[in-house]
Amino acid sequence: MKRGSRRQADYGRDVALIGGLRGWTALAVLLVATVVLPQLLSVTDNMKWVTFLNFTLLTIIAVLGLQIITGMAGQISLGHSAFLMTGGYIMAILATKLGFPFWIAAFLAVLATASVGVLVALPAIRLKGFYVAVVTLAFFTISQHIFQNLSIAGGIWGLSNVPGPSVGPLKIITDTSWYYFLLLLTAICIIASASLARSRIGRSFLAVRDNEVTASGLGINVPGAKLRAFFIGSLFAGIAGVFWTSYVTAVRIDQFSLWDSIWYLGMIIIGGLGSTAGAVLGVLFLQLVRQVLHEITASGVVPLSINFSAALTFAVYGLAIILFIAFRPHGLMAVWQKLKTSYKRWPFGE
Amino acid sequence: MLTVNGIRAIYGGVVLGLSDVSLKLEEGKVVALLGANGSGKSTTLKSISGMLRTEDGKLSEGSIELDGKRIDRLAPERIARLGVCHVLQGISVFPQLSTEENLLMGAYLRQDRKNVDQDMDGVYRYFPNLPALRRRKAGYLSGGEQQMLVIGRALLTRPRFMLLDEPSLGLAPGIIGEIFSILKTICRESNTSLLVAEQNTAAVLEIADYGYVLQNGRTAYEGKSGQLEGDRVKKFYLGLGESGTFISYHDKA
Repeated sequence: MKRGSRRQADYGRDVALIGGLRGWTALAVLLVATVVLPQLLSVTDNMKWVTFLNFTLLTIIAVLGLQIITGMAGQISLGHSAFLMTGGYIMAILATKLGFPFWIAAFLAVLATASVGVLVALPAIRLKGFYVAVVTLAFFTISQHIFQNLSIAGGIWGLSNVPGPSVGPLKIITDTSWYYFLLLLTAICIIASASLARSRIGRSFLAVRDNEVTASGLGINVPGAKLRAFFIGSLFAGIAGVFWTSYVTAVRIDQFSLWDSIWYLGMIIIGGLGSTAGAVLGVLFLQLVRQVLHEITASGVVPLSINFSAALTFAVYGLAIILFIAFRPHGLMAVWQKLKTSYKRWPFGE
Repeated sequence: MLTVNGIRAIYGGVVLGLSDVSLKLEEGKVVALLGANGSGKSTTLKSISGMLRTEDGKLSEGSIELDGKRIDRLAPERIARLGVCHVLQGISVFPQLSTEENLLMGAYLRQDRKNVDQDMDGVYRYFPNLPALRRRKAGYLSGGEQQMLVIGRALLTRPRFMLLDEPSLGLAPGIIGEIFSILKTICRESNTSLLVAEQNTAAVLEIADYGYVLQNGRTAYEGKSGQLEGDRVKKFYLGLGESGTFISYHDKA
């Protein structure tokens, strides 16, 4: 924090300074790795893994939004995938039915999703805990019915031919170009989310999550903070939904299911509630688990029926969440922190 | 000036919390609010800060005025914005935030960042334990440190009136004295008025200018702190007669 640097330094800060240099190196390595990753993966016969990475990046953006609503502000949302659905459908309607140019349609769709987020929050902020979850669940069902029955949204067939973005003269069409585009977008979203966590607004979310009464005593407008959390969180979901639709060039009602909402919650639980890095780690972990299980069953090494392998995915997913809550309740983020401190302290301590 | 005029507070529509409490808090004064368990000290503070409604309570009679304007119908955050800061009973740090972030939460409403930095240094001067703990999660601080942090956080709101509910709760005798003398200094240096609800009568009367004794939700007795230290408080509040035998308020002894 900039504010703190003016005050007296201590040993911990000196160490952090050196650690910072290492941190930058690690970041540089990570950057290079992410940039050359699709080149390495394209050595294999198909683009399957790049597609996988693209969906992972989109999921990261969506889950960052849920991390703000649930992890930071403490409002459990079971309707997060409905925000993606809203963003995706509005994008598709604006771009294909009403002929809006891509970026204007995307901008309006994201803004509309965030406004819907505020609408959902209006009844939800009057309630606490479990009841908020029920309201967001109701929102999911309602939005599913609306988009399914709206003639402009294409009914059960949905809409297709959703255009892709173009950045200047570059048209984003191939999987690899989408990868770089989404990588940039995700990086922006991660930075935005991390800065939010360190800002005054972000702190007010944490205060509301930890103790609503004390927060109001310090002048924080508690309902206002919750509304803001829903606005920002669904904004992220809107971005994810818009580009998801644009990436697969179509939108259909089963594209964003209730299961996705549950997966998202699992991702922030496994990653660590309330932390931006935790959201990213959680997504990477569960996406990998899902994909590896899929690979194993698809390769035919283990002879399993399709139904069984689908059930297996959910079982492993459930097991992972149970194990994490039992043994690592603070998620992957805490595991990472622990590794980091023991590395720094070596050879002292455990 | 903060005045409480004959308030009657009811929880959940049926439970009587206060029946008739009146008090005055002038600028730059320390006022003690004494009384036995369940006499209505906390409810009085919650009525002033508006926290009463977070517990499904409300005032059915009387009024609370800040500089002549009624504040008893306002939401807690609106009252906080008028410069009334309530430090709740028990320790209410945000456990997941660091010490410094907790302090910054106190400055949530303020736009004057330069002065916030200055006040932050001020808090660190009042509580010399805190600077070393700046980056530690507040949940890991000791009870005394958390109490200091909570008071420091309240100071960063630059309150005109600070309502403290049992600041001595769960603290070692040595620290209690320290915290009260810091409170007195704060009051003198920044012209903040303190209303301190306390069980530890001796410690609070040491710094108070004036005091009120509550009994069964009424202001039973009031007076300068010197007067309160005498026999009558012992009778009203501690329930002890001169010889140390137990007496009741109803004896009118």
